[in-house]
Amino acid sequence: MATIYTVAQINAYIKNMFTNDYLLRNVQIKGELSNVKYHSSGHIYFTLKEEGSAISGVMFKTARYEGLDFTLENGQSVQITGNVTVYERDGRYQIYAKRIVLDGRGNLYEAYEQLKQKLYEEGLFEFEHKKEIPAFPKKVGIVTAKTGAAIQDIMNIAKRRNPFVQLYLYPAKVQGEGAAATIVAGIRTLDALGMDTIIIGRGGGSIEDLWPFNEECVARAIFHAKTPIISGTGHEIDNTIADYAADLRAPTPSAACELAIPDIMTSIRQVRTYESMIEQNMKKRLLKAWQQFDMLSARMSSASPDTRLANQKIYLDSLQDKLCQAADKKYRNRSHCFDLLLTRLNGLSPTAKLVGGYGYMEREDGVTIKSVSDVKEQDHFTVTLWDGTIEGIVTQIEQQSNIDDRIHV
Amino acid sequence: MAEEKDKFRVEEAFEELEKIISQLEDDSVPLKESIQLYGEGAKLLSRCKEELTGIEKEMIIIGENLEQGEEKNEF
Repeated sequence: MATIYTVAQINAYIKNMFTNDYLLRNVQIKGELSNVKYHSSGHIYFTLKEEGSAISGVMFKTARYEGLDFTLENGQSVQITGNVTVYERDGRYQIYAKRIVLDGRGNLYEAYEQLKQKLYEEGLFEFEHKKEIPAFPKKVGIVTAKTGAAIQDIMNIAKRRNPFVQLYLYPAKVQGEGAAATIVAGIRTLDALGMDTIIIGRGGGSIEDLWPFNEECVARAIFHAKTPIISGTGHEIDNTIADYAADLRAPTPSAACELAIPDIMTSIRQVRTYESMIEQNMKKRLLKAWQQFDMLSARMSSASPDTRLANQKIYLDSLQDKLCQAADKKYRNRSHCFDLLLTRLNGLSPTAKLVGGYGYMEREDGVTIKSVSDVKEQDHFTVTLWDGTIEGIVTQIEQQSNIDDRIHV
Repeated sequence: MAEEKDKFRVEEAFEELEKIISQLEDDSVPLKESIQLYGEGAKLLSRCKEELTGIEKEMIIIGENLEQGEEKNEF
């Protein structure tokens, strides 16, 4: 009894066969487009056909960013990379496109990828080989077409940014047969001339237009040049091989020029800023040093021995004054004492006693008469008063018996 | 002499001066010694002044050179 399957089971079985098939998982198909339909969801539906055969296909919105760089149109010959699998709902198989390129370009992409891989493995793109772009170039070499937007843009931008930079153009063929050889010659010639920086590039174009910049000889010439090289190939999605090999890559020739030549006004402003910063800083430091100097000078002069000397002189003067005063005081004290003593002395003087009407008597022989017994009648004597003397003769003597010791002089 | 001149640092001289002045301000230092200190201090001060004035002059010269350089580069 044979097993009876459902439709879904069969479709699932077939889908599984497709999925497990090595070839169908990643396949390249070429053919002509028809029934191209850009759906509002962002997915693109189409039929790929050739005479007598067709396959339906879809490219999802998510695949478009990476895998499609042109607009699909009916009748175009294309190469589609993707996988073929079954759409179970309709029971149809179709190709799910990851990348669609116009026929004829497919080989270029392959060549591009292979060369990129080869040179990458060789180390041509290594960061350590990248030369630094001089910040202030004097001579900038340019390898591009003599006519065209690229050289015009570069000249305008260079003139605006820094008119002192000397530009050297090596007119090269930038597309078509023999272009790569002229680009290589240009790089070698300018490198030998001693440029500060070399710009290589061209304006945007298709992959065929840009092809010279994807050639191995160009990449090797860039790698071997002693001069730093900026690559500016205006292009679509991927970088060119030249971009990878160059020391610096720019999206367009104009951008390459801006990277090569600094804006002189910016530099001048920068220099002026530094200048005034340096000046301000230096002035500030100098001012500070002067202030410190003034302070030290002031302290020094106030701490000078001169000041101390002056102070000591003043002290000396004051000491002298004190000495004088002390001496004076002592003198005056003594002087007072002297006066007192003098007075006292005066008090003791015999003549002082005479003033009050007293006198003293002397005999003719000079002996002081202290008692009546010291004289006899008829003796001559002298009485001395405070203002002179009187001569006299003793006429009578009368002795008192009750004489007291107290009145004894 | 040139070597000596190169060695001179205002900052170091200032430090030295601080020390000297502190000693001068200390009354316990005998007057006789202080006059010697003062002599050293005065020498240092005049050396500083010379140095600062020199730097100031140099600044002016550099400033003038800058201005002249600018004029030359004017376009």
